[in-house]
Amino acid sequence: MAATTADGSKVVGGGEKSNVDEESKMITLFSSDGERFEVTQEAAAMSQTIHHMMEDGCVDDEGVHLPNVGSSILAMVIEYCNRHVASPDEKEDIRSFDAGFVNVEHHTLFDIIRAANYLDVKELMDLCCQTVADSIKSKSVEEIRELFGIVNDFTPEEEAEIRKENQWAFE
Amino acid sequence: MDRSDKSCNPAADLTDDLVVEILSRLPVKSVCRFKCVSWHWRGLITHRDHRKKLPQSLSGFFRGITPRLGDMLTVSDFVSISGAEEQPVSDPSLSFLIGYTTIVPKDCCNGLLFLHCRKVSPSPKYEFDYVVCNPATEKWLILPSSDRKTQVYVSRLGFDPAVSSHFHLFSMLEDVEGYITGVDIYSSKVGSWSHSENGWGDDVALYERSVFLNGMLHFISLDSTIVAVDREGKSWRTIPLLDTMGAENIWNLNAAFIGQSQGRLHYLNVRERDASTLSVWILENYQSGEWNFKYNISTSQLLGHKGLINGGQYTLIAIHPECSLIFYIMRGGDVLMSYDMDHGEVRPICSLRIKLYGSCPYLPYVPLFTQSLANHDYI
Repeated sequence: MAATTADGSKVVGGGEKSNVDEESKMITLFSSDGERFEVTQEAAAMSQTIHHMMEDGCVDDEGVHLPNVGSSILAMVIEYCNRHVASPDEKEDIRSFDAGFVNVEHHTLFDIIRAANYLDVKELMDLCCQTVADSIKSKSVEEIRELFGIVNDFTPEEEAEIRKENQWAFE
Repeated sequence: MDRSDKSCNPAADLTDDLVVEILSRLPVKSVCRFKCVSWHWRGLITHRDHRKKLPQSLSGFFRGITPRLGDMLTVSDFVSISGAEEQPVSDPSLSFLIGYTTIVPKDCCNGLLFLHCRKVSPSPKYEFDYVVCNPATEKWLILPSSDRKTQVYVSRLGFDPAVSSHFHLFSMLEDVEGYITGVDIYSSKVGSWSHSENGWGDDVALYERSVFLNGMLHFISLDSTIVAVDREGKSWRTIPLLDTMGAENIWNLNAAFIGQSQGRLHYLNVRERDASTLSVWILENYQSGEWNFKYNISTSQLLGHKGLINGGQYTLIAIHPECSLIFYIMRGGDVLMSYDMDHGEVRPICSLRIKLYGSCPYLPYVPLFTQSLANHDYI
């Protein structure tokens, strides 16, 4: 299993880069802040965005630039993809990995959601969106505004009216 | 933290489609509540394009109205309980159902509507189609004739999108004395009707009101039980009522009512010796048939006055599918009312706009916007 770390372009496990050996065919990804990540093509293909680029032959020797994803988030996405291609059948292990993976601050989850959306990694999108949903479903309207940084633009009368219309949802 | 380049609240950078992605994974109660977060969120949640993804709740009632008393032509109409900003039904008269002079909504189940539609025809004979449609997608289907329309007591729709994208129509058949003889069931999966003989025992007659729940169609029988039949017509069940459930008063058509809320069958009736109290029982354990008494409602509170009460002064319309709210109309009234059973609060909901003579079924409607694969569209 190939792994990378956020602070450099390390290639771990397998040692030699071999373009002939399909399993360890590598691809280079560049984060928005210029950091290099080496990933197996298999892991990278979990991103439909990158997968289509590879299929369409748009990936040159240099690699893929991802101007919308910062290095710390990209590292997390890569960690997720590596883990999921490595042992896709070990459901229990994957579940506990996923649980640990999403055990982060909301602002990190939002960043991962944005990245997973841009990179089109459906499983990661589902996981993170569901995690956010589960954590907010019982929240009050005020707590939602605070979490999402939303200003209340209802007048008191308007807000009272909408609350009355949806009274049952406030029980 | 390498977050110096981000705004202090990254959630503010979430695009609308990502917010909708998150909202689509919430229970309907949360989504409704979050309409109050801001104008923008309200717009997102009620936007036509997003409704396919977001869970829906009771948005109003379909009914048939006769706009011109002279010609007795009935058209479909919709009474919305949502705010003025929301348009849950863009075409309440269902004008996409072409070729009919009269359209009468008869039943509504989980977003699908069942209607009797009288064909435009030069002959004076009353020819009608059974039509099932989805008002949200404007798709519709004419059912093949069952060739047995004269024996039909009532037809009801059975549909649960959580279980299957296919629906069933149950036509309960009766003999000349009004006792049930069997049922014709149409399956949209098979595309045809099948017949099953009555399995409830002899001399069973039904009230019209029904509830489709847990894959079975439930009625109140005239001899004071709940009876139910499944989609295949194979399982016929009888659920007895408790002695206290006002069974003797079941002859008062306005009193006994069944509905479903929060996944449970609810039964409402006035007490035998006390018509001023409407009592509510819930079938907590569906398998064992165990009823739990839940609420007593003072009918004078419903009607807003003290004085002689009988069961005919109000008509129960529906129970909210997600909460303990009942909807009713006062006799001769033109306002749809709601009563919160947990808090004992009466609240007018909306004007019914047209005074109606006699009772007209109000069919609770929860929109179904999702469309699945071409072969299994919810119509």
